[in-house]
Amino acid sequence: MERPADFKRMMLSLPHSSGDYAAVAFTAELAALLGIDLLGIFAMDENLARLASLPCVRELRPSGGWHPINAAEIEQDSSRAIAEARHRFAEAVKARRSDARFDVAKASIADIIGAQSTPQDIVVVVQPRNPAERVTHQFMQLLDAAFAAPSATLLIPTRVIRRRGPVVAIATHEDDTSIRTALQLAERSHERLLLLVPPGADEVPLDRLASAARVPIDWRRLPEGDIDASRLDILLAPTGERLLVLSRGTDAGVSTQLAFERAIPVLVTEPTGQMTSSPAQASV
Amino acid sequence: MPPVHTSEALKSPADLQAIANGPAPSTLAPLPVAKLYRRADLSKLTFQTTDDLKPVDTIVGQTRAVDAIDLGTRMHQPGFNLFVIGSDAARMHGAVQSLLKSRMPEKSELSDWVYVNNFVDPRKPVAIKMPGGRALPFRDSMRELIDDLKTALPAVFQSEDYQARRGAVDQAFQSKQGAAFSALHEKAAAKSIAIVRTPMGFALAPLQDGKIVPPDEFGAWPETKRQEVHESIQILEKELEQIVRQIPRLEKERRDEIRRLNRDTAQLAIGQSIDEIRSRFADIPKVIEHLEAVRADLIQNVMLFVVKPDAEEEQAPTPEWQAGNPLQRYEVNVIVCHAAAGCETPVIEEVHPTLGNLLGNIEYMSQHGVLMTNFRLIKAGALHRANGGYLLLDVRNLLMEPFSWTALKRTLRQGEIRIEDVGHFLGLTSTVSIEPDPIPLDVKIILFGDRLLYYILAAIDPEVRRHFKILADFDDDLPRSADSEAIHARLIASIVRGTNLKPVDHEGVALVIEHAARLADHSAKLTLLVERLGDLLMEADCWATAAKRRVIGRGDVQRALDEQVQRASRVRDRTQESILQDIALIDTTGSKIGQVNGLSVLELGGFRFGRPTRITCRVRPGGGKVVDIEREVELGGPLHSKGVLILSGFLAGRYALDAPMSLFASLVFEQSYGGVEGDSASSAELYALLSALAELPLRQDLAVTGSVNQHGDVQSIGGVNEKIEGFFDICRARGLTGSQGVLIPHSNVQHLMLRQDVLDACATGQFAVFPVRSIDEGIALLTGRPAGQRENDGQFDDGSVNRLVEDRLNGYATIRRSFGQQTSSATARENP
Repeated sequence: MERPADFKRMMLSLPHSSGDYAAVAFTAELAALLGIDLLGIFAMDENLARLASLPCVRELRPSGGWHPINAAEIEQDSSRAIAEARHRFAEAVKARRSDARFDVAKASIADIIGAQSTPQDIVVVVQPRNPAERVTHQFMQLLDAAFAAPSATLLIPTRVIRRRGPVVAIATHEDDTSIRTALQLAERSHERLLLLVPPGADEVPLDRLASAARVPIDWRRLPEGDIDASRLDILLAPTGERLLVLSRGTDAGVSTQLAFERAIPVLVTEPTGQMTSSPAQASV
Repeated sequence: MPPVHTSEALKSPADLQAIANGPAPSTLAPLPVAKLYRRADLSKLTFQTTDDLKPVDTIVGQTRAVDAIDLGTRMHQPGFNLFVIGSDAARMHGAVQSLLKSRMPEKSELSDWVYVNNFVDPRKPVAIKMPGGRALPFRDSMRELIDDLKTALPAVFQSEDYQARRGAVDQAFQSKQGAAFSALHEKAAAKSIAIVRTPMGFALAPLQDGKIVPPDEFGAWPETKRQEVHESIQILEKELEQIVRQIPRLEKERRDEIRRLNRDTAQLAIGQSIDEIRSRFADIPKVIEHLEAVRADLIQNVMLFVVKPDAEEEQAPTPEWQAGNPLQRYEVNVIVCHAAAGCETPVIEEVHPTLGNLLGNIEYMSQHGVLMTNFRLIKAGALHRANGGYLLLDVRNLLMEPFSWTALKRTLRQGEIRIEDVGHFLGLTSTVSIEPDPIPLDVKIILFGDRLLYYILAAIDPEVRRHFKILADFDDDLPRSADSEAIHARLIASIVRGTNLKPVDHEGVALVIEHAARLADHSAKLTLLVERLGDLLMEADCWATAAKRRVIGRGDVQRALDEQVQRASRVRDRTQESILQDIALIDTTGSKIGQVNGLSVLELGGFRFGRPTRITCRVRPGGGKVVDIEREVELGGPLHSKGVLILSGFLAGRYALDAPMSLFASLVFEQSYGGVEGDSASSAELYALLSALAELPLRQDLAVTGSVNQHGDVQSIGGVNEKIEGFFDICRARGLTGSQGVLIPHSNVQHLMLRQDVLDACATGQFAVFPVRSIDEGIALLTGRPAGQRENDGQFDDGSVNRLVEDRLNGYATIRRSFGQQTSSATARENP
């Protein structure tokens, strides 16, 4: 299988809850579609053990109330969580053809992404099913790190509403890298490509693109003005897309909002771009 | 030439004279050859070969049985099942099947039966009766329904509409929870406190510069600041706890809401498909009832059809007892199905009537190492298949199978087919089983068996007559006449055609008919054991083929008969060999006192042959007892012992009427090392006894058969042909003298169908068969002296056998009296 030139690996921060592993399977499917490796990282933050030394910190277990934090227990529980994650990861990727690897990192996920991600990576952020997890320090850090990293970011919602339908690319300018990535994804998944191009974009390069593509390409102009989530929502309502590809030029809050509210995976490309706002401020 | 004999005590000159003169001419004449064999009379039929004959049904001459079967098939009340008895199982089966077919309507309205899942109690599958021809369409409709739903339901559940509504539900609940957590997060962030995910839960920890404060640094903080953080955390903990506690309730509400949404969504897709099937089966209330149960279950468990993108909630669990795919619960297990526009009444023959084959069974499949079952694994039995018709069973096979007989009776008593799991009863399987609905029984059972089995069963099991009220007794033979011989000839033609044999010519047919009489053991009857005649004809066909003949002739039939005998006669030949080599002592010439040639028949593997046996008798004064040595050593059967005891009755009734019997006699079958049963030798034993008493020698060139009663009448016995032929074979081997022959009961003359070589010898006077009515006739022939009548003076004729016997008995009485007086005197002297 021909591998897209830009990406070589997906870096996935493995969730702690079993209910979130359906998203892992979906990620593996996308990795296989792109023909790239999948690296599942289970972050075992050593800082957690230090919480035991903080006199005012206790642990609330959903199954059994408040408990004092014990460093040894944290160690044991982490080991169990790793074993569980390893098993679930293996289950989630076994049906896919991607080269998948499971890794345990003794650091915070933000540090790992910051240290390891490259422009050839896609950092995957899975929206936790449990609302409590979405406001945890770790998830906030993950989201920040993903958007701050030089890699692309793939946002996977808790529930993916559909698995068929066109791939949509939202281009902020005519040479937006999201167009090429979206086309590759559309070709590999044998889906239509819908391009949302800036209001003043020239039609000629689109025609040229369409003549070389192996799938049908439609395009629409974006409305004048700033792109926000609600406007895109209205624009995409009849589309029934399976995946959105945006460039970093789009507001990060818009990306997360589109992903988590429309329940559609969103791939944010153009790794060299700059984040325009903190994604943690978006509604998640 | 006068016979050579050995005499132990010849007393009178008259005795010596009689012996010297040889046997006096007896008034008893040998039977003419015409009486020894009855030729077939086919004058009523003009044919060259069996091809010219019109075949007949193989159930000729069975009026009694046919009437019984006719009645049995007409009566539909419970208990009027048939018990068909006779000697030839194959003939009975064929005859009954052809009778049933001829009496059945061309088309019958039969019911189909299916088993479906019981959604209330899956351990009790529901049986549904349907008009014939509807079961398969119903099954197919249900399969179609499920196949359609497999496509339709996922599509419905993946539709934008559903996903939007589902998303809205999720979103609403997520928002509720998310809002609470977001508020908490904001409140915590404002106080520089983070919510931290621990491996097993959550914690609240102080933050500084976006990072959790390390313990050392926290320890270095001023006490007031630490206290402040502590208090903030405590407040936030309470809020966190409250929010977390609400999560299960909110989650449950969400699940309920989604379930409602799923039900509403499924209702439309499922309802439409179910309604379509309902309209097709609206005339069957139980199907409608089942469809409603299916509808409710489908709606309840719609997620079974939806390939879920994630292993989320609402997955309907498969009940533990159920095996296989959970969607199989909607299938239809067709137990019995018939054609739609009426069909032939079923006539089912179960040759291996195990409990499972009879009543149906419940199969199991292994799932995760445990044996599981469900309604789909219910298998029909012969009773299901025969319902509405007839079930044919061989009673011997039925009785040989454990539990089958009892289960059949229970089924007949209850009037319903209840599938029983014998493994469960016996504790052989300890897994969960099912109890399918019983199915009403509407079947006529026809049992086949031999007579003995029926009589024994009827005697020991009162339920036989309760459940099998119609007895159809197949005759083994039919009276022989010109008409019946003609019918028999056509029966032979039927067999020949039915088995694709060469045609049989006129003489060949005649010999088969004559052999049929021999098989019937009666010259005036013809056997109806078609199987044996068929075997004979097939062998004859083989010999005709070997001789390159296109038609089976008499010679081929005779060859087949001879070969049959030859194959089975090894034991007979060895027996005769031992006689001819004087290992088994049998005289065929001369005469001897107290010794006679008796005749017995042996049957081994269906082959019967006769053989002579020497019977001897010794007498002396005694207490009036005739001792049967066979009985003393427990080699004699009860009938044999009875025959011997009758001899005492004969002696006591005929002789020494004024004195107690003072005889001690011993009788024995010489060189008999096996058991002796039957009373056919009792006349021979009496001759030996009379000879011993009268001290008159008996002719050894004659053999004797026949039983005797207390009045001295000679009575009929069995196997007369084989007995005569057995003695003839020995005599011929030693050289026929012209004086040799056999004494048979007069009543057995009608049974004679002797071999051709015996007939030839009799025709030329080389051998003779004497019909004897009484002991007096027989003893006169054997001794050459008249038996003697009791005259007016109360005495038998002087010199007659009876006179000599009575004189001897009186002599014994005198001796006994004298001995008694001597003993009394001696006792008196000793005890004055």
